[in-house]
Amino acid sequence: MEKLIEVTNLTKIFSIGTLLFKDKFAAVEEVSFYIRPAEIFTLAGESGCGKTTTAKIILGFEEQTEGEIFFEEKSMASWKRKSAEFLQKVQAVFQNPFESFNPLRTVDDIFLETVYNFQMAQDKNRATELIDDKLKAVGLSFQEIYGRYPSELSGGQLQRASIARALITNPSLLVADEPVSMVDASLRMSIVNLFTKLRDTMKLSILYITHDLATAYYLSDRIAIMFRGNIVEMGPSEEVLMKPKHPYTQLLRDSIPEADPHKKWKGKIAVFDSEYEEYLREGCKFAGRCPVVMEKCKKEIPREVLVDGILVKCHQYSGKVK
Amino acid sequence: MKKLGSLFRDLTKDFRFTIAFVILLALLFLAILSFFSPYHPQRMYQVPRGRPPSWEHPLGTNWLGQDVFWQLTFAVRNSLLIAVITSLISRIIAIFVGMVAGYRGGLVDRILMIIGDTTMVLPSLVVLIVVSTILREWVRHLTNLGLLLAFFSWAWDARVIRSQILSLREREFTFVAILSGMRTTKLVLKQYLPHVLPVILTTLINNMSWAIGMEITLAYLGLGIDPTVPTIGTMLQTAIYRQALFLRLWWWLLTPIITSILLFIALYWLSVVVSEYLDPRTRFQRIGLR
Repeated sequence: MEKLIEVTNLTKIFSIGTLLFKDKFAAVEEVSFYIRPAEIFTLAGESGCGKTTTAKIILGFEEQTEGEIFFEEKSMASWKRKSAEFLQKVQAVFQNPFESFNPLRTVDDIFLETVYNFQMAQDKNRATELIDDKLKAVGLSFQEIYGRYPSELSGGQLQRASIARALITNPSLLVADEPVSMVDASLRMSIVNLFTKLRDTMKLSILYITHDLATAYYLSDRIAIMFRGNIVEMGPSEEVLMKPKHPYTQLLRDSIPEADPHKKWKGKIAVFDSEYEEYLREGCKFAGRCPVVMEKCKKEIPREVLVDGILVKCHQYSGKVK
Repeated sequence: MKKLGSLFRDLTKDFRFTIAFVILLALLFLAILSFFSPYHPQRMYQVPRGRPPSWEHPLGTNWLGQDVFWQLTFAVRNSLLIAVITSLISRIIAIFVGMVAGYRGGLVDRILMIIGDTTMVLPSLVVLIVVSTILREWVRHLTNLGLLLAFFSWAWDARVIRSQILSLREREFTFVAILSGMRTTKLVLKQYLPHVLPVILTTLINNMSWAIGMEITLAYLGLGIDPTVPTIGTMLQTAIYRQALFLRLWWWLLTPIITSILLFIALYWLSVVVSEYLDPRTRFQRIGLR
């Protein structure tokens, strides 16, 4: 199996405004990518660029307007969403560990629920063994979470517990929506390392969604940079992040401060258009901020072209390569 | 059981709870006592009429030859019964409608809320008077009056529950619960019900006192249930109708009045204390902390 999941021309249109002054904008526009088995694929971009919406569509919490998703080479339409069969293979970890567990129920409750709902074990002893196994993999134990409420555990513990819960069913795809943005730096590393370990040992594919390029670079095999609903650059993460081609990726990379006392911060602060304007812009959506903007950019939507094996959506390259 | 004990100790720190609890316990005791009554609740001229309170008749007797104390035990029992029927049934409707409307959304939500809003904007007292005039025979039974009152009190709570579910639905633990393979019914009952329960509990108590008040109002107007069946409302109505004050039988009139005042105070304080206990922010507000 070459592609575990393939997303083609995914589009999600939200409408805003009242009945009379309705405007439609595409939160996700013609996004296509695929993830191989045992691969970590990163979707990176600033807040509001549509990465979480993409994840929600993949998980079936939102309905796409257009486009199709193939999981294990079967169209999503033929998978019954929310059926045990599908959920067993696709699991997710969310951003806020305190929100991922119901504050009025104990943490072990949702673990046992998962085990019983997917019929992983029949009696309680087997179930606790199984849960303990998965918790050990993330550096916790069943004793630590048993009978505890989410408020009694730390954010790091909860985030690891929520990863362990996602692993109970032995999924083949884990959608991780900003899993480390709410935990501190030391824990961030251990979670990121845990992901690489899971990829290597369990052959788990991870869709890693983040705005943090450092962990993305460290962790991922391939990366896609999103901007206002479009993927503007996609390729192996080493190539994309070290030799960025799209002006937006270059801008992102330049905004990571370097730890050098002699280097002064010399970023130019430009006044950006509002998110709303950018979404509704004709032509390239980045045109308002782009340092190398051309006349053409404001009128035409750039095509996606392959430059040295990297997919770029920019007019700079559309002329050079056919 | 231990949890309940400590909960009770926490609540008794508030004097209002203690008073309310004692009053309700006493009234409950009266209601149970009615099963051991030596007299029939509806038959007249069983005792000498118009006697003041004495050892034999602790609250005196009325002009119809009934013992007021034993009448009161029946009245408390029947009034509480109406209150319980009304509040339980309206709560069940409210939970069901609120949860289905909130979680399902869309057209189902729209239809259920239109029905709810319609019953909410109806002036309930006027409609109750009209309905109980038209359905005179039907409303004479305790349970039927309870059902009628329940119909007018579910809508508001259904709305509150619905809005809570709407906000809970967007929280991440809902997604986690779906991913853990929970079915919709189980998800709503196991994950959402604990969040909604405090609201249900406080509105339940408020609804009980509303139902008792409504019963008294209707009985006073000569509507509602069969006037020979003692409830707090019919006791009051009979006493006024038979000119108790003119006959100087003050114990006959005062008994239902004082009982209903005590009952309302107890239920009100209970609901205030419970909602304060469940939402500590209001407790801070009361003692002036910010």
